[in-house]
Amino acid sequence: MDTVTDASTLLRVDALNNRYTYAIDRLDMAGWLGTFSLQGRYELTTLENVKHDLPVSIMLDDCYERLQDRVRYVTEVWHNAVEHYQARHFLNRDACWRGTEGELHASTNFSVYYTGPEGSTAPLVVGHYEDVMVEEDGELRFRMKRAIMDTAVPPHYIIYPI
Amino acid sequence: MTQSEHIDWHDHTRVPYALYTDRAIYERELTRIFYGPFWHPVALEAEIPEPGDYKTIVVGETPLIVTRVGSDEFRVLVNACAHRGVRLTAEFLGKATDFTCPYHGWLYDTRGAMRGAPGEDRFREDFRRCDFNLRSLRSVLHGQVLWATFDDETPAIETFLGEMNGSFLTAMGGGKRRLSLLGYQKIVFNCNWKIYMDNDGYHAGILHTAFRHLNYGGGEATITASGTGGHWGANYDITPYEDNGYLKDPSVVMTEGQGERAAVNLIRPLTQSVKHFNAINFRFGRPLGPDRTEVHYTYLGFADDPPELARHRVRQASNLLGPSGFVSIEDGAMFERVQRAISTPGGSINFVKGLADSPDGRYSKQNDEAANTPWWRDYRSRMDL
Repeated sequence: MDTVTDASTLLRVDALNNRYTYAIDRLDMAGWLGTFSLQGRYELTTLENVKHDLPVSIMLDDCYERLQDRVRYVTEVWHNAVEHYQARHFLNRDACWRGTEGELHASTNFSVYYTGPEGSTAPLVVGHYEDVMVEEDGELRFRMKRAIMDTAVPPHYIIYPI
Repeated sequence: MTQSEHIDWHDHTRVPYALYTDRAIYERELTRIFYGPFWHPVALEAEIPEPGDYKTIVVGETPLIVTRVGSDEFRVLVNACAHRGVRLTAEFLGKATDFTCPYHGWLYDTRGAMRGAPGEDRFREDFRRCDFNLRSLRSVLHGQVLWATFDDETPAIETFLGEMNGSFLTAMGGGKRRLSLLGYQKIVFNCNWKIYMDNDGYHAGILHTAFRHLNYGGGEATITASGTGGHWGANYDITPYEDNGYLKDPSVVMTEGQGERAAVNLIRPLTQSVKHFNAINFRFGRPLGPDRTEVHYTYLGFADDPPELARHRVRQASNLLGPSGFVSIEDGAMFERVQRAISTPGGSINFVKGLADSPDGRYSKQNDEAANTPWWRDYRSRMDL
């Protein structure tokens, strides 16, 4: 593993994750989409599925078009039925390394709290991201963002990407 | 004093709110329904495909271990040591040749037979191992699903499922092709288990904004409810999707292959099997008290699926019909919105649509509410309400 120790690179990795959570915590789905490269994919799954080598996920946007579709679902389709919750993400990067083609990899723990319409707050999910990042138009973007939840049974249906 | 002592219920089409909120009612349901004459699915064959595989699950509030002992031999065991009641394993899926209690080392084989314990020579004089086997539930394999019951009087599974047995078998692939496990989506819905069953799978399409955006016409189905038990099933051909350009990638609502009829089945007390588009989905439910319900969406394919179809099933399963699915998320939203609003004393949930055409609820149309009612008639009788 070619561990990254360069502070400026690590700051760019953290800045990308900050842009990502800033966007989804404010329901800025266009901003969320903007953190992905045109070859980007997003997956939300559980450690349980991963552990048993089971391919089904909770969300699986395995091409850029599906990422675009998720933006429309959240912003145009579901808003009338679901009861919005306010999500807050807390991150802690614990590894970063460079791959054989120059791409960056990072492992980052996440915990997400949600606050419902009545104002009460509870943990939603805990887990870690497995990210692959590439340069695109002079910016770092996700080629893959895989959110793996330790939480196998969330206490509330998950509306927004983690 | 609990609300249940004051429930005034005369009409099974008007269900008092208290039946969805009262703890005393829930306790009675555990005894009369979950531990009564009902079959509960506890595992799919595909979840424990090899001898030695096991799965844990909770039925009612009882933890169980489901073991595959041989190629066609299964056991459903209570997951509690017969000595001091310790849970033997917490693994959801695993492989074992035996189970050893971590507290005093009591050893059981995968059939649940007690095989020994440290210090056994000093056990009381009348001790016999055969008196301390794990409790084994009556079980049967049907439609590649292992079913179990706590009650010796539960009728045969085909009798239990009644008229919707055929629909259930269709949803599970017709019983001719071996199913394979693709994965899980698990969720807690903050609603009573009967709210979940009243509303999942059988409700007006008007809920689904997604259908309108997707130009989705669904299909015309007749809902057949069983004469006893109140299960119901629907089989229908899905109207092929016509791309209206709304989605950048419409493959999520496309059907690949031929003859993929849709089937939606609701099996009392707390199970659904759904085959929609190319997604095959079996939903294990579990009550968590009177106001929460845990559901395990379990996705399946066929072992002989071509690789591209297998990938398509995974994409569709991951995006469409689960608790965060493009379509089904709206269902979950409704379960919780109902539960949060049903605290008014004297209020009731009312079933009205289609009852004029089907007073007994046995045969009704897809968007009616008549098929909800045979269950509630049956429930009133079982619960002495």
